[in-house]
Amino acid sequence: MKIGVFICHCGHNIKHTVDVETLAEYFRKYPHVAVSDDYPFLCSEPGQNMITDSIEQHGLDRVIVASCAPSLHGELFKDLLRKKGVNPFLLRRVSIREHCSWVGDDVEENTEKAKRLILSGLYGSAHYVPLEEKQVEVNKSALILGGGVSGLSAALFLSNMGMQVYLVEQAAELGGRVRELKSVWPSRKAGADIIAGMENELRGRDNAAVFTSSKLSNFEGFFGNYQATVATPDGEERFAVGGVVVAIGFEPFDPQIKPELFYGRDPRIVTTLDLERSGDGLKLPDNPRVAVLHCVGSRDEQIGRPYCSRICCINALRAAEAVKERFDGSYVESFYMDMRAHPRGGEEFFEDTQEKGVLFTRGNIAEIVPEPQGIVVRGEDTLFGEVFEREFDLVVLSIGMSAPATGKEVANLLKISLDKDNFFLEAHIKLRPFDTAVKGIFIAGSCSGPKDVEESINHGRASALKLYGFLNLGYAFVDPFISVVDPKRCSGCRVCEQACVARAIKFDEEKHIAHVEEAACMGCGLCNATCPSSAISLRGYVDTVIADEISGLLEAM
Amino acid sequence: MDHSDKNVLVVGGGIGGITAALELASCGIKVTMLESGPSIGGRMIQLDKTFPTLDCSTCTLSPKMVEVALNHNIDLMSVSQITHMTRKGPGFLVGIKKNPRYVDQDKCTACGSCAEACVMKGRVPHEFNMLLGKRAAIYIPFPQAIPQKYLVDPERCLFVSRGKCKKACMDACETGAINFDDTGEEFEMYFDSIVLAPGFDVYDPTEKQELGYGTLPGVVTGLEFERICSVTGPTAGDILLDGKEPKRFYFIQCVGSRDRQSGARYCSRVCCMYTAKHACIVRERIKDAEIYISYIDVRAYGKGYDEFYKTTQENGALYIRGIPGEVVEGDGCLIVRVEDMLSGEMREIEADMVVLATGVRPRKTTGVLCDILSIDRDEYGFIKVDAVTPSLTNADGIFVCGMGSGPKDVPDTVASGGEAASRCMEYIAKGAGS
Repeated sequence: MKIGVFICHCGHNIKHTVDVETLAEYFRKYPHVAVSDDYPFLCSEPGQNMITDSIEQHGLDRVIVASCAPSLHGELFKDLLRKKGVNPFLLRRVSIREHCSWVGDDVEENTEKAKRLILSGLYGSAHYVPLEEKQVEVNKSALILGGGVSGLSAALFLSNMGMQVYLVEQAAELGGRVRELKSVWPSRKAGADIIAGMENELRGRDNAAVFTSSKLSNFEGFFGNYQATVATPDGEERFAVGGVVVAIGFEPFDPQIKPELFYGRDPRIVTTLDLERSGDGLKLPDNPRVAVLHCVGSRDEQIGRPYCSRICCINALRAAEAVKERFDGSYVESFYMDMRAHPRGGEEFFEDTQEKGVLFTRGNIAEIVPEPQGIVVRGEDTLFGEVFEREFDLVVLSIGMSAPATGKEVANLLKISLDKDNFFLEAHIKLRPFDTAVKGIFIAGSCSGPKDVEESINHGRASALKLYGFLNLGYAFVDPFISVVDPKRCSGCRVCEQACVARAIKFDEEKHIAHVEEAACMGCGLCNATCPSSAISLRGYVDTVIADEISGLLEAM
Repeated sequence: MDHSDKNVLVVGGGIGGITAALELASCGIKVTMLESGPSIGGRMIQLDKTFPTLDCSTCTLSPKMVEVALNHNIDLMSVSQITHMTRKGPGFLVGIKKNPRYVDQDKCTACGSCAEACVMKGRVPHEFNMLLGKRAAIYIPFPQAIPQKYLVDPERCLFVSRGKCKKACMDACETGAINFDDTGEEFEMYFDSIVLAPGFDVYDPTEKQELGYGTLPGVVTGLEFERICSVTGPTAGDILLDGKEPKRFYFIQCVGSRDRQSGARYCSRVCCMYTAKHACIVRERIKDAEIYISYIDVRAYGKGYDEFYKTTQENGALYIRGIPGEVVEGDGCLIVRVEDMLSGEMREIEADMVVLATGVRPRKTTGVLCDILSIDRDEYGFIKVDAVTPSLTNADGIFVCGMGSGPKDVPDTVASGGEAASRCMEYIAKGAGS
């Protein structure tokens, strides 16, 4: 056995708190270690070359890369082994960044921990065997969940590229929230027109099936070969899809969660969305006094919405502008924390709104009291350090975006994750912002966090392109980490069958043992853990590997 | 659908261009990537870390750069530019000028012996490090550069510029890669579509004399500070000022953004967050640092950004609402004069280092590029687009992504790169059908 140990500095990230040179030196003396070295960025070209050159020069048959978490550059380092004719599953990644250098500041202790982690990897890798990835055919069709501007963008692109598309929308109409907008800033186009343009293009196409008032009810299978069941008003529809774009949007924040705002109890208190829908019908005096409150349901830890909703400052500006345009003599005052007019043209819009006479007060609102003659708003002006009390005829709440109501349900069906705020979690915010942890399932638009129309379109199309790139190949490789049953040991107790979330384990009635459908197995290892007779094991993660990794950790102590 | 007979030109090798190129290549399209500089990576590769995750920028981008270099569908041309363009049916006949690198790409092993031998070693200001630190006339811009090859700076090489040099580099090069007879190449190529990713420049704050940039030592721009923090930078990542570790930091936001005087009414969208990131980096490396941040509004609008802003404050960065009127020289330090708008007080704060969060400007070469391609620009010089079709330019078949059409952070640039690639794919597919 010839093992190569490569330790990454990750610029400052690891080197800062782990003595990488000492580590490299330490492993150089270890039996079977042919080469042990460190480098500032193993993922860069010189770093990659260092690994491939070493494989060639020393004839390595095991490679340990101690760097960031394996989720980051997993495929990259595997490819290096492939390139040099070494089976990629003889690679062991050891996380000494997320699990070590980022955790503590003590260089000595961190170095010791990194040493143990690497040693553990070294021990485990001794049991590695070459594994083969299986090539499977993929279905060139896509399921799009959500018919808002993002989902429509995705569906249109895929359909334009000749792919079969199934678009599933929960509401009776396509268009999501954008349809309700009278004028979409900054283009000033009507939301309904934007949607109609997209919808007309899509409708009537042979390769696009649109299901409204419908929802996903069941989802099975694996990348390239998923089976989706959709509950439609005309009964259940089942179809095979290669992948999914999830674009189920967001839920407007419901201000009733904050009873102190009196929303729903006084008609003079409305949201930006109400104003958009029925603003023209509001009965207001000739020279109305209007307050616009920013950050309602955003940047508010007390109600579990610590995040910025990204769009509501602009929405607040639009509301203020709309009132000012309709009532020349109106008094409009906007109460904000930070004016986040960041989109293209946003800052100019903010300035123009000020010039139109809208007042902006940086302040905290303490309370809102509806009185017969007007709504009293009390708070503190944080710029002047003064307490104020003012009376208004109308209070507009600029509401934020909350996570989609069906997020959890969809996440469970597709087995994808939600983030701390219940939006969908991307695989990596910069490297893979459209990917989820499940291959072939992508996320787009506001369901992964607040976005405006432009950003949602960008996301919808970019996600769809990712999926297209995967499916257009016509085939895919599936991980070889699948469970295998030892027929001699299996007692046929069927505990594994119940443990399997992927429904990959079927019971062989004839032989009276468990049987794994390789294509469906996700390699989670739940069956291994539950099997009372150790009859089922996970390729690549057999018990001896795990036991020896633990020994490695303990021995170092 | 088979797209292997289609050719797309991607202009610009930053994160936007790289994203578009890799997406197109993954669909089987042949991509030519044109980069005007010696390496791809753009501005992002100059950054030390990226907000809000504090991931190291090189680790995020470098693997994608390597993918570009290795992808069989991508042909990378560095130090190259467009000279002219004529429309040919739905496609484009584009004139390309590949400037000479004077180093044979096939022979160079990037060993670095040539730079060691160069008589100009340590004498040429280093652009990649924002002119902090010096390089030789034959150089590689940074250790992780793609192409991973050296090149000669024709303006600073004594032999190329004056014809007089002992050419020690040629003796030092074991593979005989250096070729001073290299004249570059000029040729025409046909493309079915073009994606522009010209990127951005940062505002030069020299004109704001009151802030002392260029006159007071210790006043630096945000991008210069990135290089100072970066391990591939002039101080190998140690935050140093004249060899000493500064303790008091003052960050000033909105320098050249939201500012009519400097010609930019717009918000640059990245400076609030990169300043918060800088504060975190300082806190991590210099535990007892004093950190002040001047702001108008903190625009922490992206996913996880507001939380990051909060953490920055909790880590002891003091935010002061108000942009300083001036920075002056004090007794062995800098003095920042600022009106704290929340307390109404005029304050004088001592600092060792003042970092100006300089805003975004269109890349200087965008104008020329747009003239050649007949592309409209907006009042600031960014490429003009509509918010509902964010990558469509006025020219059919030419698309734009990233900062070329206005300020964007990395996640937004990645999304726009994907969107531009998708429009480009549709355009090509439509052409194939008709």
